[in-house]
Amino acid sequence: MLALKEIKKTALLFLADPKPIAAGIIAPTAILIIFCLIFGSFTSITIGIIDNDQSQMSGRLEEEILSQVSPLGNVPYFKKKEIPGDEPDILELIKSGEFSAVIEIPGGFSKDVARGTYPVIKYYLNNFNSDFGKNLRLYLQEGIVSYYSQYYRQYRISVTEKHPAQVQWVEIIASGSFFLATIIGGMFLYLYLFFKEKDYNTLLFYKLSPKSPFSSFAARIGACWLFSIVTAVINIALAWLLTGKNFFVFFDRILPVLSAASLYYIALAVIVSLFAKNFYASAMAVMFGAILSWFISGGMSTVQVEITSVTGFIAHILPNMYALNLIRYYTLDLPLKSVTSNILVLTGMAVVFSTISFIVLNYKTWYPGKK
Amino acid sequence: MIKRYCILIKKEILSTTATLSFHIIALISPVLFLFVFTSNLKNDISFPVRINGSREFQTHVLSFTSPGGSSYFHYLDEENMITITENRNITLNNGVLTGDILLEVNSIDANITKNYRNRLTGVLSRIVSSSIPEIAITVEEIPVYSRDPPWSAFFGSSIFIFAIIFSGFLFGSFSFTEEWDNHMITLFKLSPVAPAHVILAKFLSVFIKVQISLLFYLSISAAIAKTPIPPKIIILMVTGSVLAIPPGMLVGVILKNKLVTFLVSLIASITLWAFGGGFGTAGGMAPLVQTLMSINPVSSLVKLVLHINFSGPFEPFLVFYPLILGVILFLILFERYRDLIKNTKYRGLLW
Repeated sequence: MLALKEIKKTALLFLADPKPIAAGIIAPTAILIIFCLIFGSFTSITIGIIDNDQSQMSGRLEEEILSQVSPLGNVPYFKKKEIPGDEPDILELIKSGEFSAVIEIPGGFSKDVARGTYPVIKYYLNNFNSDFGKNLRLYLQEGIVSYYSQYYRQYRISVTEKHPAQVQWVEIIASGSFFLATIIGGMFLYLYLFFKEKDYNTLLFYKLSPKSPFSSFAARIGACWLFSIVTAVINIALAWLLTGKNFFVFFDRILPVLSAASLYYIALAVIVSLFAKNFYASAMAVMFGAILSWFISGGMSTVQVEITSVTGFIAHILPNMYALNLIRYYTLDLPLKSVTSNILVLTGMAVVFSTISFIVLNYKTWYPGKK
Repeated sequence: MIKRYCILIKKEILSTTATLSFHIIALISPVLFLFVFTSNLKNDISFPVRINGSREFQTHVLSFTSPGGSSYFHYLDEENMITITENRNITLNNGVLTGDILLEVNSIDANITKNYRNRLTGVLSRIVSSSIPEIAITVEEIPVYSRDPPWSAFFGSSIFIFAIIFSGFLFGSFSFTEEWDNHMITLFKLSPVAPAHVILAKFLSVFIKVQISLLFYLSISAAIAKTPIPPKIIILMVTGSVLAIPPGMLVGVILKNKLVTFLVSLIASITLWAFGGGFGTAGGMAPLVQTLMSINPVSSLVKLVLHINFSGPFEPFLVFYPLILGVILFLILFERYRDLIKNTKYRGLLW
């Protein structure tokens, strides 16, 4: 009965001012949209090719360079754009951003290949960071090695690739984004509800009540859990719209995972709310903390971080990594060494942390028989 | 007049205590992002791999580096590790290079598969170059940067731009949310100080706060990277602040709620940064993203920081474009504030 009244009160508080709560939805949604737009549709990198040889061999090399297809987005690595002018300053064209790289095949290239007299090509590139430089270099090498395998009788190395069914990076990011929405949504609402009690000085009544605060604790946790699932649903729908991947198909399997993670983070919000003085500050702190921990523990990638690093250690002591592993196992067929161990760790973390949070809440807000 | 300015600036700086927690978040969040990126990218472009094969093949794989000396692979003998197996040894017989390689990628992520495939192909190209150099196609590089800026250093610089935009937006917006909270806007109407002076004093005080937060970030990033702070960075700090503070103040004038302005500042900063080349140039990204990057003034700031920290290309446009936009936004802010003061009612003020 008391729990029902608590739920009613929670609902009224929720409806009174949904503005701060909407914040819990907006931030992860914005992150999903930004990352989907940036990493969602890779296109070919624009390059220029100057063929001073104009031979069949140079033509074939150009063809091989331009025909290599990336598994990421299934588009060619490079697309060719005509270089303007007769004698352009190539580096200036690259600096202007018009081209990412320019390949210059010198006159005599085919003769050098035929005679075996050390053929050379020139490569102008925008190596503004080591990762992009690496991509430009290795994409070119893909074309060159393909050229060897097609036209060099001296090259007879075969490569076989074995991998599970592939998914696009954006789907991995999307699976991480609705997880982020779940945890931020639940934490935000809990903080909001608890600080309303502080604002209205109603915490005093709980302190003086002969009844245990468990009912109110359970009602708030229940409302926050429900809200976190609502934020997840909104983000899953958005992910479907942006990536074409329908995660709702797997909802029955990911719901327990999202619920356990949500419970852990709501319990964290319980502890934060007991020690923090200001709603805004604590809301912002948990939001930043959630986003940072999400980055650290594989929100955007399936690469397992090594436990020996500081960030790797943090990732291993938070539930994110285990929850994300399970979500991706159910939705994207991520190979997992042990599903059971991930479930056990995640559930254990949620149960232990919820218990601790209730003990702390009980200790801090209930003084039966005291003044 | 200078005394009035000093009083206004002092008041603004003292009011920082009212939103201290937000200021602390603005101060430490870029530092935390720096820490995360630096820690996650400590191996730069190197990927872990397990190799089953001859000693020569292992040497070829593990010594494959970029021109700057960054390894493409490092050995990690762990269960479930992505593995390259030399099923049939690579050998040169009668001038023909033969061998069978198996690449086992146990990842579902197409991006990971792409990266391993690229690297393995690079290794094979290198084997051709060392085994039959006379027919191998040598690539002679003419790069824009004499040495690739390491990925973590690039992000360190890029996050600095985020720090400028975020602190400019946030401190700018808080310079007005405080006034709304304390019902001070009506008092400004009665003030003998002209709106232009109020706006300018607020801008200057926010500017000072932004520079302090940026110096904090710079000190930490310089300590991590063990490199001195380049003096030219001051040009970037000034340009970025002039661009970011007026829209932040505008947000504070229009939206009155602290939490809403915080979220708008955060999301606007992340959006401008991400679509301004925060993750790198537009090469390989969707056409819409490329268009956004080309008009986004934050792209100019990213290029400017690359020029300052890594001797990247420079053109005056990189400074003038954000500055001019900043001035235009400042004029819009001034107009909006003047309207606000003009339309504010006295009613109830003297009650």
